[in-house]
Amino acid sequence: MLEISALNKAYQSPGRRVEAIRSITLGVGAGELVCVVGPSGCGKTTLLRCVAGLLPASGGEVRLDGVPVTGPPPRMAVVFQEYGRSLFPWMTVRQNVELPLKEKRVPAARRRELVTGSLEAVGLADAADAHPWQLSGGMQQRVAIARAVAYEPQVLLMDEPFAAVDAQTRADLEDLILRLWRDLEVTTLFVTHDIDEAVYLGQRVIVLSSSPTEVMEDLKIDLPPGRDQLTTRSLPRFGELRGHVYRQIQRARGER
Amino acid sequence: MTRTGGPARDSARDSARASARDSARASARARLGHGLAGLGGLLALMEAVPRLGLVDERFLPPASRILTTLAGELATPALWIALGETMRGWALGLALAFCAAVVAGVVIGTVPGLRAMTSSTVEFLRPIPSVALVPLATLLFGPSLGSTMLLVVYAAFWQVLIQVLYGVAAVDSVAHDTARTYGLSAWSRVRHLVWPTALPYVMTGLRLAATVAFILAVTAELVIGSPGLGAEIQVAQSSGAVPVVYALIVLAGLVGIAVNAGVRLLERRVLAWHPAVRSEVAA
Repeated sequence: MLEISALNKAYQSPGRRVEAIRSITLGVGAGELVCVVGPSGCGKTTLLRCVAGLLPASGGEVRLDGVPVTGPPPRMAVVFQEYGRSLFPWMTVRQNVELPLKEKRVPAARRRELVTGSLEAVGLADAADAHPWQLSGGMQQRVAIARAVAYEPQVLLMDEPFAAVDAQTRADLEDLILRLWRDLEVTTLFVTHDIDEAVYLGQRVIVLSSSPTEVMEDLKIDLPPGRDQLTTRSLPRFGELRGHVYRQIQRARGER
Repeated sequence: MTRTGGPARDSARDSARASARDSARASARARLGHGLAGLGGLLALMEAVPRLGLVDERFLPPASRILTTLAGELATPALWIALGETMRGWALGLALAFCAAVVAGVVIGTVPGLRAMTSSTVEFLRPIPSVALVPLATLLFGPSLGSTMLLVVYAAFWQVLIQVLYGVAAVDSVAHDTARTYGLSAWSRVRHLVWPTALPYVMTGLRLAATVAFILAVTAELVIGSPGLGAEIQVAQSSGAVPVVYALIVLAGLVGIAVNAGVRLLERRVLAWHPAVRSEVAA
């Protein structure tokens, strides 16, 4: 589905060349949820922006369904960390969710259906006519998720979406993502700096090295599929995987 | 929290909120009171200075006479026609300048490279005082609406253009990425992202331009003699009708206040979502 091969990204400025990503190769199968985790400053966001077609790669390529990504692909949605800046404050929640659908020329009746359905799915059916700034941070990020869901993407990219919300809201939103992913069977690439979150959500966890970035490990998460904040996180296996990823990241930081 | 404690707490909160509202209203009333006291003091001073003979009454009539003259003038159709002429030059010039500046600003701001290409020209043309165009206006249009329009448009155009350029440059990078990932076309991006982002700047530009346009409209009439309030002041001055001169100046001041208040009202309506205007804040 999503193939990233030998992706390289260097930022070029006069007299200086910074290699952010040395070489990343990884694949995400259809309907898979893959988490990418790495030490801070390792180019996670750069990777995601290259995959989203927002940033041209310096070498290698990204293919979606076999088609090379050169600009933002039509059936890909991105949820950004900065929900407050990603939502348009001059539009209501409904208008924010509906705008990409209008742009796709979805017929009005179907549009209403999608907007109502996705707002219900994130538990914000009552807030449709509010403006984003009237909502709490967690609710704003739900709006951004609803907008992505209503867009009916093949691939969903998430760039540290819960880094700016409090711990309780974060647990709720993690379960929301798991539920939506299971219901919609959407291929998801989830970038995070939070090891627990990566192990809890992912079917696989990709551990990145520090910059210039390479893939350190592609780890299969063999936890039972029906995950739950309490039981899953208290499984001995969860602790082992978490510890393993933690050690890998410590190693990555040490090598720098 | 016990159930019985609920209503008492609610009523305490209600009364706290009511007292906050009362104090807000009281401070607004106090502000209005101070403003009126200041105005009253000014009028009293203006009345006293000529009456006490500190300044010759022929050059500065007492406030009461200026105001009665103004009331008398307001009863004549000639004054209203003159005011209408001034406001027509102001409104037409402002509208023309605003539309041209918004279109130019959005195009310059969104087409890559155009900003760099035009910035030196803009920086050269912008500081030229509109009044320096008086000889040109006289030559081209004579004492007519055209002269007023030329000065008004030139002065107002730059005020709006500069603000639009800043506004277009203020588009948030995450919002821009969002628009790109959801496949918004160039036109949609201008309409749904660039324009709303620039709108607070545009409104500031409009407010500055509206005031400057009014100043230039009166200036054009005063200096070139295009019909309007400024020309009436000129006529009154040359015929020695000093109280009329003052009455017309006061009227011009009042119109200026009205123009500013009108644009502020528009600003509040258009920018209801903006942090500077909206009353509710995120929890």
